Amino acid sequence: MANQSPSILPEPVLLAVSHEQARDLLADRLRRADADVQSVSNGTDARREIQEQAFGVVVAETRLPGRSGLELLRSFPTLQPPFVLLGRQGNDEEIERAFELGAADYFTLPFSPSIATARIMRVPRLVAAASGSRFVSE
Amino acid sequence: MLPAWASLPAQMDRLGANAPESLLALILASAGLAVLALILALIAVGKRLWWTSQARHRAARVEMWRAHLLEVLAGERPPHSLASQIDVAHRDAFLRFLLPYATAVRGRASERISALSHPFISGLRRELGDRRPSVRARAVQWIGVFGGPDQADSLRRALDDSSDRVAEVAFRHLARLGGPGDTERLLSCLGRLTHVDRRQVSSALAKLGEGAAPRLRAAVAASNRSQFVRVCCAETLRWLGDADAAPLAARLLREMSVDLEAAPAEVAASLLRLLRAVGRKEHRSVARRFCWSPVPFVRIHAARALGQLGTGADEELLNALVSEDSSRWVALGAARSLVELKQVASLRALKDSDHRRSRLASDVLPTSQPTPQT
Repeated sequence: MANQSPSILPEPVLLAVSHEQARDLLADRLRRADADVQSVSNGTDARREIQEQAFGVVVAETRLPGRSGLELLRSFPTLQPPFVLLGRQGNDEEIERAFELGAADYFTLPFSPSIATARIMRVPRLVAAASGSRFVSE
Repeated sequence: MLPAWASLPAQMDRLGANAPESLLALILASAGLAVLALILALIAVGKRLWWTSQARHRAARVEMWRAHLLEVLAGERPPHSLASQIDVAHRDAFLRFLLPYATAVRGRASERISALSHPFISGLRRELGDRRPSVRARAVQWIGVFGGPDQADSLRRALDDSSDRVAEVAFRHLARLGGPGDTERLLSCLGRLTHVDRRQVSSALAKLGEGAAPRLRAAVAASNRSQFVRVCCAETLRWLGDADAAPLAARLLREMSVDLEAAPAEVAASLLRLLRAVGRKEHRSVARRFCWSPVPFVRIHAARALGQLGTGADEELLNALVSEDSSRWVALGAARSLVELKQVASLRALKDSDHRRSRLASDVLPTSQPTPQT
C-alpha cells in the first residue's frame, strides 16, 4: 500500500481510519504532499503495523473498531510514533483525554482535507525539531 | 428354472405392446423436461454473467468517479468536469457515492462537492412531490447534504410533510442550512419529533448558532411548552455555551424549588446541567436546593452542578449525599464533585473505613498517576 515516491518525511504515515472516504481523502492528500502512506481500517491491524514498522506519525480514529484510537495511544506510552487523533464533533471530554494521554493533535470529522493534511505533516517536523534531529522538509 | 431377470425383456415388450402411446408420452415428457432444465440453466448462467458484468461496470464507474472526485477536491479539475460525465440513469448511484464524501469534509472541499451535485438538485426538488414518503425523505436528505442555503425553502416546506420521517430529515438539515430565523419554525415542528433522541435534536438545533439563543431561552422559560421542547432547548443552550442562559436557568430552578415534588423533573435536570456548564458561584444555592429533590436523577445533576459551582462550604452537603443518599448514582455524582472541588479528605477517610460506600470512594479518588498499559 505504501507509496514508493520520494517522501519529504523520513518515515511513512499510518492512517488507522475506519471511515473509508475520510481515509481515502487523507491518503490522497498526503500522497499529493509526497508522503508515504499506509492505511488500515481497524485498531488491531494498526497496533500490529506500529509494532512491526517505524512511522513518522499515526493518524488514528477515536472510534476505530478492534482497538480505539485512545486505546492505541495508551498502548504506546513513549509517544513514539506521535499520534494525531480523528474524532467526532462535540466530544470535549474525549479531546481532553486525548491530550492528557499525549496526542500530538486532534481534529474532527468533517474536516477540511487541506488543513488536516497540513496538521498531520506538521507533527513529524515538530517531533524532529524537538529531538534535535535534522531533515529537510522542503 | 430361469432367474427373474431373464424374463424382464419379455415383460418390457409386453408392456410396450400394451401401451405404446403412454411410453411415447413418457419419453416426450422426459425430453421436454430435459430441454426446460437446460433452458433454465442457460438463463441462470446468462443472468449470472450479466450481473457479474454489471458489477464490474459499476465498480469501474465508481473507481473512475473516485479518481476524478479526488482531483476535483484537490482543485486540479473544476467540479463541472465530473458532473458533465454523469449519465441521468446513474444519478442516484452517483449521489449515493458522493454522500459519504460530502459528510466527511467541510470548507472548500465541501463547496466543491456542492458545485458537483448542483446539476442534480432540480431533479431532487421534483422528487419532493413524490407520493412515496421514502423517496421524499431521500430527496430531502440529499438536498440537505448537497444543497446550500438557497435550498432552505424546500426544506421549510418539507417540515410540513405528512410523513414524520420526512419532517425529521427536513428538521435536521434545515437547522444546518437555515438560520436563527428558522428557530421558531423548527421548535413548532418538535411536537412531531418526540420519538427522536433529544441529543440529536439538540445537536441539530445547536447548528443554528448563537443567533438562535434568545428564542431558545424564551422557549425554555415558556411553561406552556412541552417538557420535551424545553429540555431540548436547555440542552442546546448548554451545547452553545450560552452564558446569558445561566441567570434564566437559576431563576426557573428557584421558582421550581418552591415545590420540589411538583417540579418537572426532566426540565429541572436539564437546567441543572446547563447551570453546571455556564453558571457561576452565585448560582450554587439553587443547585443545593435540588440536592433534596425526590427524583434521584435530579439529585445527581444537582450534585454534579455543585462540582462546578460549589465551594468548600458545600463539602458537608456533598459528603452527606456520598454516605447517606439512597441512590448509589447520586453518591457517585457527589463524590466526583468533591474531587472536582478538591475536597477529598472525607472521601479518603470513607475509603479506609468499612462503610458501604468505601469502594465507591476508592473508585473516585484520583490515583497518583495512571499507569500506561502496554
